[in-house]
Amino acid sequence: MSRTWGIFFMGYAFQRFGQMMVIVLIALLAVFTTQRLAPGGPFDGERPPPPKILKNLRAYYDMDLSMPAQFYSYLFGMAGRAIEPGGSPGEAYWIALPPEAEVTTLGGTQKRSDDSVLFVRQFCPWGQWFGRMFGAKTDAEGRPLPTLRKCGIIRGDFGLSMVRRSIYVNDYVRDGLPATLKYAVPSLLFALLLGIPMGFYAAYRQNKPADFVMVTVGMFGTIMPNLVMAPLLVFLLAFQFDGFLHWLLVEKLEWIELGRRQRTLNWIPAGKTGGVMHYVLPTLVLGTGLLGRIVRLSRAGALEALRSNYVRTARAKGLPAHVILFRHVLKPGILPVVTYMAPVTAVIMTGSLIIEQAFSLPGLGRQFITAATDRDYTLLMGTTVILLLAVILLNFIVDLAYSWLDPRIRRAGGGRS
Amino acid sequence: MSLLNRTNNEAALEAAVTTLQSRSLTQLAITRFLRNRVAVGASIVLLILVALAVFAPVFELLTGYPMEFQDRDFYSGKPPNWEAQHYLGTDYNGRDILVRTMFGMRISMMVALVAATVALVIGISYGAISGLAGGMVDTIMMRILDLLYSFPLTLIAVIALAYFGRNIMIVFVIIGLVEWQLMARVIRGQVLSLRNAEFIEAARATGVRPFGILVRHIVPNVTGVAIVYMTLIIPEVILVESFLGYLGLGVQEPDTSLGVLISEGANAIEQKPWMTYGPGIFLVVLLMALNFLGDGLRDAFDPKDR
Repeated sequence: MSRTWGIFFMGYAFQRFGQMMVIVLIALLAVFTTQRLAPGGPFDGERPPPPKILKNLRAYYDMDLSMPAQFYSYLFGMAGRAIEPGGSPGEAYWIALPPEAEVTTLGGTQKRSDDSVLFVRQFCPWGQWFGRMFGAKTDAEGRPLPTLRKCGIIRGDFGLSMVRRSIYVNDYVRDGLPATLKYAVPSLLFALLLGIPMGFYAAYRQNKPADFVMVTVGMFGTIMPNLVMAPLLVFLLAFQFDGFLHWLLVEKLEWIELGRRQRTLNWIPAGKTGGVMHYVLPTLVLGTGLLGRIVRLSRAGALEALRSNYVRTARAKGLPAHVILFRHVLKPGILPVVTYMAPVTAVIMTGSLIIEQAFSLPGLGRQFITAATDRDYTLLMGTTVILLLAVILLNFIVDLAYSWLDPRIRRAGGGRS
Repeated sequence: MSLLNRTNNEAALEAAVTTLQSRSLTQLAITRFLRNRVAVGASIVLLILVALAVFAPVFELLTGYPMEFQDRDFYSGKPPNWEAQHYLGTDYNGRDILVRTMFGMRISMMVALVAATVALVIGISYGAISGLAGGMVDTIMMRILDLLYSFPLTLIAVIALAYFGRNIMIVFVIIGLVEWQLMARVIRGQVLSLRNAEFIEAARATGVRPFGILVRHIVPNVTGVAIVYMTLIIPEVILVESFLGYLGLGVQEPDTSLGVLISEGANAIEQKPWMTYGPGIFLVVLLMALNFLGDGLRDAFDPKDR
């Protein structure tokens, strides 16, 4: 890495970081206002809670405040009444309240009497870092300020789920994100590692049968929607594969008797989580969708590179094919694919909603849907933030990769398009 | 570029006054399209599908199974039975899947048309304003479009539909709001190239107001390209609609759409796979035909992209 590139990177990273924060804020505000303006709420179900409990619930989730105050408390936390800190930061812990303190918990608003000890739970995962940065710990006279009852997402506290009121949104994310990544990352790798060679080979053999096969595969991948692909693959591979093998080997080829086996195949499970095999079908379904696009894009990129003057010169010089491929065709050839990596996050996310529904995986997409239909405000905002951060992070990486691949952009000062 | 504007009398007159080029361009495009066998085949398939969807009520009479009819003998989902005229089998309630697929396709196509029109209107206004205004406004509007490009707008659609009910009008508008960006980009490009055209300058010189220029000159000239790109948006719209239907956020009973039917089938894929076959095949064929048709049209009318 040259020095100029390093300087470019720093400035660019700062610029992008600012943009990122603004986008997240706007999106959060949009989701927040949509939620509060829409009819209905998280607490009215078939049997709404008694008015007194409802009042306490609303107080606990700050819903009795004005909307700007609610948004502020969601972002930066809400100071509780006078309470003193205890426990260690980074996990939920209980705080003992000083005498005469008044605090609102899920049980209701209470005043601590002299002989009973009242505890309140506080959850500040990033408190030790961002606690200092945002807001002083002591007041003007040096006394410790009231500890936050809620820490706000700025300190990593996404709040308590509003429908399942004993679970933190952080726990949902901690469980859901790996489940999503376990098939999202492999499917992306599958699509890239298979799609780019396929596209390049198709370009190399343009208008030959091999090209036709690759283009057809690509077309199939783009046209076949996830929601048809998922049940189809489940049926073919998970339920019928066993029967198919039996038909092929025993009846058709008159091969060995395979022995008694159950009708439903357990090689490739079609739902729930468990071992690696449980992620094979989700990966295949999501991967084929991406594969089609990547084959088409890398084919187009490679064709353009192959037609260029420098490749013709390299050929005329008599360079061997692999040198031309790796030195001259590869970098400009994958440029369209790299550009496609930015919207690919959005594609994966919308696909994850389908796939997690179809394979009953406990990922982020499923939680997003449940949160939206149950009106679980905090869970929906939490999953939205995580998904947005994923999108923005990948966009950032793509921009950097792009500027590394295409020096013209670097000189112009960054940014795609 | 003035394409497909022969129906518009004034634009045709105008084109005829300048040169005869626009008419011959259109004719060229049509011959180019007709030479593309895949695209012609796709349009025939599409016509058949549209006819099936449009005449779904007739179809219902022919088979004798109305959409909501629950066949007692075929209750709880039976495989295809040709003698009973259940060509694709029945679902859990003994309703004929073929008839339901036809009606689902009807809804899907309706949503596609209306939502694509919404997308068209939004895209045309956004692109035209951006292209006409130019300068700072153009830069900012394009920057917003760039930001939206990699933004999962479908997730916003999911939130909005979950919160504001599943009324079919809301579905139309929301899908239109998701799919307008490509149109805005294309229209802006067209407007930018039109902006400096001679006849626009002449209109400006004779004192036509900007709004008048927009309505009389820009919009008719952009319409052709807009229609071509609309055929490319429609499969996307159908996909989004079936996606929302699959998640249970699209149209509600007694109406049905392809996505809803597929999700019903996917839940019973182990015992009753035929519930997915029919709607799945129809959806894939529909998407395929639309994609090929859209590609063919674009290749025929937009020679620079070939």
